Amino acid sequence: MHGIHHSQAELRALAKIPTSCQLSLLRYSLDGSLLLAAGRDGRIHRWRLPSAGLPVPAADVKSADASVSEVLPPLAGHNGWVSSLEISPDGLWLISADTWGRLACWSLTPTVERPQWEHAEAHAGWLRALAMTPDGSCLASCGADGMVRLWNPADGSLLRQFSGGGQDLYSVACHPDGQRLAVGDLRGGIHVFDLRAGKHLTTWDAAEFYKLSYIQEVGGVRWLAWNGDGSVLAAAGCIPENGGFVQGVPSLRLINAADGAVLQQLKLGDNQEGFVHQVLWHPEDYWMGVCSGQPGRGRFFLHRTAGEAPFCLNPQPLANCHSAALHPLGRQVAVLANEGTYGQQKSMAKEGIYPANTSPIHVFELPAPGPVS
Amino acid sequence: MLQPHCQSDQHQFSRRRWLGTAATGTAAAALPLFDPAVHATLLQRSAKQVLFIWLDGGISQLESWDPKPNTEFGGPFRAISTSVPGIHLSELLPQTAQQMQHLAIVRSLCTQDNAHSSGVDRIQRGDPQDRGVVYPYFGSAVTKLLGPNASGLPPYVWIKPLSGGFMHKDAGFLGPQYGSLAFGDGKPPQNLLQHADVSDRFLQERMDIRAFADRQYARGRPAASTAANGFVYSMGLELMQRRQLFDESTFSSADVQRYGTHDLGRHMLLARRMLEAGVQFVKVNSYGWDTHGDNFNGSLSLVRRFDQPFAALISDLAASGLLDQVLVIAMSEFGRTPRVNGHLGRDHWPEAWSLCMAGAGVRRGIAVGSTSDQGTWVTSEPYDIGHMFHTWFTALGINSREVAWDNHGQPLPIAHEHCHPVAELLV
Repeated sequence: MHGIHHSQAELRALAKIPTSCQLSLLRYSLDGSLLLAAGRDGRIHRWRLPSAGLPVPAADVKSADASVSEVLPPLAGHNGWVSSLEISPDGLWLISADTWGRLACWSLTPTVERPQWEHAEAHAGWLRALAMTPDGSCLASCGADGMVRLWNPADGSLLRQFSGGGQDLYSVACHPDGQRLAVGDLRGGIHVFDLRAGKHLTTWDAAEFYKLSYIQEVGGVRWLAWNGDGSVLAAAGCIPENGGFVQGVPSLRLINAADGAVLQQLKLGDNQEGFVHQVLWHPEDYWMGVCSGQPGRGRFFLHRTAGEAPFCLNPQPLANCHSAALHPLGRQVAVLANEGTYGQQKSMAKEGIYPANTSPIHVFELPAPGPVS
Repeated sequence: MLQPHCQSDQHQFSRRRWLGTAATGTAAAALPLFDPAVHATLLQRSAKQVLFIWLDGGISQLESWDPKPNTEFGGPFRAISTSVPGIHLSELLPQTAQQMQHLAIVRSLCTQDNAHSSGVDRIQRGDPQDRGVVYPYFGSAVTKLLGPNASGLPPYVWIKPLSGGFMHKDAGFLGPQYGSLAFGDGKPPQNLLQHADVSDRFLQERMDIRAFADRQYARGRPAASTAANGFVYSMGLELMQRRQLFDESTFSSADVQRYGTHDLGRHMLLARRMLEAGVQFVKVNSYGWDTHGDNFNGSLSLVRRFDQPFAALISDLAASGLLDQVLVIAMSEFGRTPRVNGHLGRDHWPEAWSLCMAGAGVRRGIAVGSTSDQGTWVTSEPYDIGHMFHTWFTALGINSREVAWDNHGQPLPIAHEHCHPVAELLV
């Protein structure tokens, strides 16, 4: 177990992009020209950006500038919340999912606003996560219905389906070899399958990520990601303290893919905070992740598998970070935070004014490449 | 016009009267449990009963009774149709939706308090005008106003997680004997079994001595406090005779599965048994509904684990005919904010929220009141908890505008005088 030490590398804020609603997930297009966000308003929000990334402001400019981004019309057609986004490896297609079970495939050409194909009920209810094989031949989806479904991304045809091993599946990740699939469930189970045969290979236990609080089931393996060579699986979640407020220790568990041994469990806050919501692998051999916290705390962190603690943290808390996306050139990261108030201001409703909270996007320049002490 | 006052001595539980029914209770215990026909014959119950389900912390109306799918604050879930055309519930209530023909939903609650610490008390006491006295909880009020029935069982029981015991504070100015007897985790009070070395005759002799001592002690002391002491002993004796009520092994495995093996399922199944046995007011508490964080994932388990036993219970009460005399209420101290906070929770919202009721005196298959498209505020006549107290008393056959409490000569309205029964909800 490791705590948080002082950061040793610095992030530089490039821009804060305002949004009109709360968002759940960010993705860059593979050419870097589009930033896409899954909306909790049932829409996919889009910004056109310079392909090379946002310009670095002059040293004497203190405030970040979002004017370099151009807002494109959002993609409509989903219901409830858009819950997941995935980009095809050829960079041409965006796959999206929502909490009513819809799965849709869109061309990333900015002028196209109708899906190429879609399934209104790809899952029964909340479709939680998507993952695609590196060769782009298979799209995996999982949901609160406990099912894993494999799709042909070219035409949306169903290739295979099987029970994912848990009653509510939160996360899915395709191994870099394209042969295996890891699925994380509510109760801390991480189930590994042979992707093509749908055969269960093993289950790794992360039961610490789960708690039954009275009748509320709390926790879950909220995100899974493999490192570049597939030797390590990162599982993100929380060690829950309670239901209701749902507070706990935001945690990242690194698992040896060879034998399921826990290499490290990183705690990214105290026991009154929230979840590690997402973790990504950076090609320069480190993990990037985001977590939420109470009240309004949140972190973006960089961490090496062998490190004792994150080597970089955002200098100021970012309220409740829920997602991060890595720019394809690897030098910039977009972090989704939350902004606004807790809800119970009575007078505002009396006056007929009751604005929603929003999810501003913070774009940072990552630390320079190279070894970090 | 304040008449007739409900005189406290009219409804005072007489230990003699109580013990006089014990023989009936014992006979009932020897018969198969849960046979409504047996109970109907044995108890000849005409008195009303209440099942009060308290979801402590605040169930989200948007994830239950008043869904607003695909709106700004509607959240991730769908609405589903119910057995009543035109009424929709959250998809998290699929089984309850099939019982909608028995239910009445109120979607236009607008109450005064957004804090748990004060809100729970204000809601359960009916939020009366402040006259410097502590009003009774609804359960205490009902048992006082309806008076004892023939079951011989404690009139006001509370099935809850965690610890149990006698909760006198519920009673307010009615006096401690109108408090609730709490069964912690659905278990009976401790030491309920008669010790093997204590014969029935010896037990009776002990009780006679205790009664004598009680009478001596009561001389010159306020009747309310000394009566409560004897009352608790009487309850204990009765429960010793009726301890089979708590034997979970006698529930059918089918019922256990239908209600659910989680706490709320087990407690609701026990509540059904208590109602069938004739308990006048059964309160069931579920904790953990204060979903300031991760409200939507939380609701997946919370609301579904309410849905399962609630629907089973409504179905069972309807099938047995008990629903005609049992008033069922499911509610919290307030609802939850339309706005979603950064921790994906909903906060406290007394401005526009919902409850569900069914049974005695209540119209069935209706949804009363409305909220704005985004669920932010009430767009029909807003109802405070006082309106609900008037409605519930009326449904139980108590004229809430004429009957008054007699608090040592001080007449007090039993429900807020600025509110009224909601006619739409009443048969």
